[in-house]
Amino acid sequence: MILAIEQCTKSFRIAGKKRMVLDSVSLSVDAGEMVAVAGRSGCGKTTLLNVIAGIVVPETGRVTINGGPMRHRIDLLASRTRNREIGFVFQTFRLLGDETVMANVILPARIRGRAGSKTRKSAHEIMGKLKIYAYRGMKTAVLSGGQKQRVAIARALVNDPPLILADEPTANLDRDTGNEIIEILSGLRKEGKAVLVVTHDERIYRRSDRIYSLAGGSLAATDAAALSAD
Amino acid sequence: MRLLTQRLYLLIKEVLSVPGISAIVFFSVLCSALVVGVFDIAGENVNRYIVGRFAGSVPPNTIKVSPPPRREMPFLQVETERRGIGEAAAARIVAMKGVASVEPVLPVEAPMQGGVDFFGFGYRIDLTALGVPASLVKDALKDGADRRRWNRAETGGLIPVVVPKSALQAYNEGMAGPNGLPRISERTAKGVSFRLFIGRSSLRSLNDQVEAAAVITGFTDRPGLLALLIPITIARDYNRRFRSGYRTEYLHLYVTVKDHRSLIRVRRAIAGMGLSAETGVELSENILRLQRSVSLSVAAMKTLIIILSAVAVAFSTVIATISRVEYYRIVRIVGGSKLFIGFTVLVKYGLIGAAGSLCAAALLERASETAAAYLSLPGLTQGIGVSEDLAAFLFRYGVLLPVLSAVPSLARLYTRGLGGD
Repeated sequence: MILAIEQCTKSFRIAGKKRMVLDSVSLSVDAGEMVAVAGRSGCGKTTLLNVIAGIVVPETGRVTINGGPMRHRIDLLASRTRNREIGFVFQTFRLLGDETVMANVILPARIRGRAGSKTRKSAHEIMGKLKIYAYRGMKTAVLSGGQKQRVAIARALVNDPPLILADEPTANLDRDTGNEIIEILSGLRKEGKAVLVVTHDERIYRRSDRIYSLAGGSLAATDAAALSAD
Repeated sequence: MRLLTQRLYLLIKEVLSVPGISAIVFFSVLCSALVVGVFDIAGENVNRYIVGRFAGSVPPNTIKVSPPPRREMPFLQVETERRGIGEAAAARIVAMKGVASVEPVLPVEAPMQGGVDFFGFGYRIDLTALGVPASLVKDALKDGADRRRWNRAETGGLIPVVVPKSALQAYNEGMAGPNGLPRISERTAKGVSFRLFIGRSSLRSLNDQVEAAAVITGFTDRPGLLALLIPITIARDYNRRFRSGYRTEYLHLYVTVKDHRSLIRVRRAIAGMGLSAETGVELSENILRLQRSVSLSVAAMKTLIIILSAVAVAFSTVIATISRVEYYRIVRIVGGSKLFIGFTVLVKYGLIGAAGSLCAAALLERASETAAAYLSLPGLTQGIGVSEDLAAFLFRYGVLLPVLSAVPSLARLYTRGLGGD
């Protein structure tokens, strides 16, 4: 099992009232599995990703990634786990616009202290697979949305993490580009990656192995048909 | 090692990133440090001008130290007991902080007469004499030869004498006029020799009395007593000769202090010793009050300038940090720790601040040299320049201000998550 979330609880105080965002949430994702989490805007999907990534500290419960616990309260250890075990893909790509594609892709490797020729070679291979090798010397600001998302995926893969977290990865893309990105994410399963996608996209529901719905702080298993009916 | 190299690379990259924004912080630190430095130099010079040229040109009064006044019984009109200021008390006053010099006045404690010949008539008069150092009668010892004679005088040789101007005036008005004697002027009297008889007077004659040749060396208003003034070494020798078991006791001490502040402190300390300390403190108090007012005004203006400059630097740093928040957030996402990001940001602004403040100090120093060459106001040009203290202050100011200003933005970044899309 790559990701295990056990009984995680998180609440926020909004306008003086305590609002339960995650209420004893449990979830697991195996290697080679893609799991989708659906839910309305503001239901706590991003908070769930932040808890998994060790950026938001849960009030109760624990997160285990690739067999090791996420040490939320020790930032150095949490950051180390995030750097080595997790790759992130965002709706808005979160790229350094004034840096080249290559610089963006190897940023996690630099943080890890591995930006030598081996890493560069590996980065080139990933960019080749994602069809962005030709753009490696270009600034990401000039790329299209689909190309940016491919760069983001390449960056997520450069440290070869077992877990990929994707937050609405197709929301900012046109239909065809979205399909391509879904194909790429879906294809990561073959490489043994565990993929957790937070989305509203029905196409992703259909390609996922399991689907969960997050509402009122609770996570419940559902299926694509039920979500479509909603 | 590889990790360190990569972290260093990211650190350098961050320092050199967004040069436009970094330049704004750099120039805000530079301008701010320049303004603070210029105002500090100007303020210090105004202060120094007041203290050095104004307060310094009005020297503090001298303190006249006397033995404490004695309470006399109404039926006892005559003092029989010796009283004076002992050597120990004088030494304590000499050692006091702020005392520039102490000039003692030592009474000759033996009967004395002076003898002169006027047109074949021998004329003798009882005298009192005081021993004083040359510095107390320097106005009467006009040339170097007089001062040397005073300082090297011995009991067996010619004794230099300084006559109180009031005594000369009293003779002319009270004795010469009514008795038909010739009047004496300072010019005609200077250099006149006469005889001194020590150990005898019209009332008393002691054994071992001494006759010595004396010469009038000059006239003085100090110390304002109606007695001849002779070198203090001579006075001490005569006292030892005519008083068995003689112990030095001064009649007065004239204490000169270094500055106005010392005048008030030393006067209080002397009074605390049970001695009488006479001086006018009003002048010194007024000058000190003026100094305090000027210092306070300069300090208030400096504080205001520092605050305004600090706000400008803080504002530019906050804007610069906020403009980089997305970068820091991305670095967090891909595994950068709070410690690494915080260190990078603080080093970046520390380096920019250091560069800005050092440039400001260098510019100030250069400008000061130019200004010093053109400004010739007395008391003002001497102080122009960047002191080590000012340079150190500007450096601390330049480094700490942007670093501290970046902290709130970092804290805000840390307390928030990755942000939803």
